[in-house]
Amino acid sequence: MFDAEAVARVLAGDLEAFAELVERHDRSIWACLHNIVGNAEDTRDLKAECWESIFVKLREYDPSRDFRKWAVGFARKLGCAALRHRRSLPRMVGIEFVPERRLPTVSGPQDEHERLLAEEEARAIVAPLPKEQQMAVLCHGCDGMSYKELARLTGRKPGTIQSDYRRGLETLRRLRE
Amino acid sequence: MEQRGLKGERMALDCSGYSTPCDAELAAMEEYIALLHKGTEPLVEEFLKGYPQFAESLRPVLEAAVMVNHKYRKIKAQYPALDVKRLFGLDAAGHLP
Repeated sequence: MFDAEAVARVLAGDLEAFAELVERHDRSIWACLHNIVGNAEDTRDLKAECWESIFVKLREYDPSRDFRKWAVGFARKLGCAALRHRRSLPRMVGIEFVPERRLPTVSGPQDEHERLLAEEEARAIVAPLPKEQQMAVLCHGCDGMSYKELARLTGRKPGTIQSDYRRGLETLRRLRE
Repeated sequence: MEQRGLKGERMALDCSGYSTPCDAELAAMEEYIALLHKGTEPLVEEFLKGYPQFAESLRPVLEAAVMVNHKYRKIKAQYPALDVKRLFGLDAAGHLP
């Protein structure tokens, strides 16, 4: 909601609102790019390019969407394009041209980044709860792990985990009211 | 000692909003959760008709379970690699972080 408002302000000519967006999401953009290209120097250059693209395309942003995901999408595209470009360049060793061999793969870091984003989103569902209740709600309620299995992994009693699960749900329901 | 007393009091207040279900109610809750996991997801009201004695206390719990499951499945569909065990540091070998 804050992001959508900030975007609206930028579109109305308020450049300080864009600075707010940068401040809020710069780390996500940096993390995404760094995961893909793997070095700080390229990440810095690409980050600037990324924010430039975001600014230019800001009119295309749909306020109902998560701004961070939308912005990180730019970073991912730019990062992958840079990686493809880097791979297509020959590397000079002595007088011979040999292909670059020590580049990170595109899928690895990108997958890792997506996994982190997914974990962040999953944790956001249960964010208001204490950690034990978060674990019970996500691992048992959503992922289907048995209380017995959770008890084995955490060293807690199955009954306690069941109690955490129910209390977690009660709290989430109350917060929704 | 005074501090411990205050902490105990606060904990008691924190727990005051929670219900204390009997075994049958917990079993009914687990039955519904098992249906959710199977993907059948019956309507909460329909399900509660089978347990009228627990309807009031179970309704909010089941509604929350449905809400959380919807959100989780949405994320899981987008990122199939999501593993909540990793999120809490519960690795496959069964070690806590």
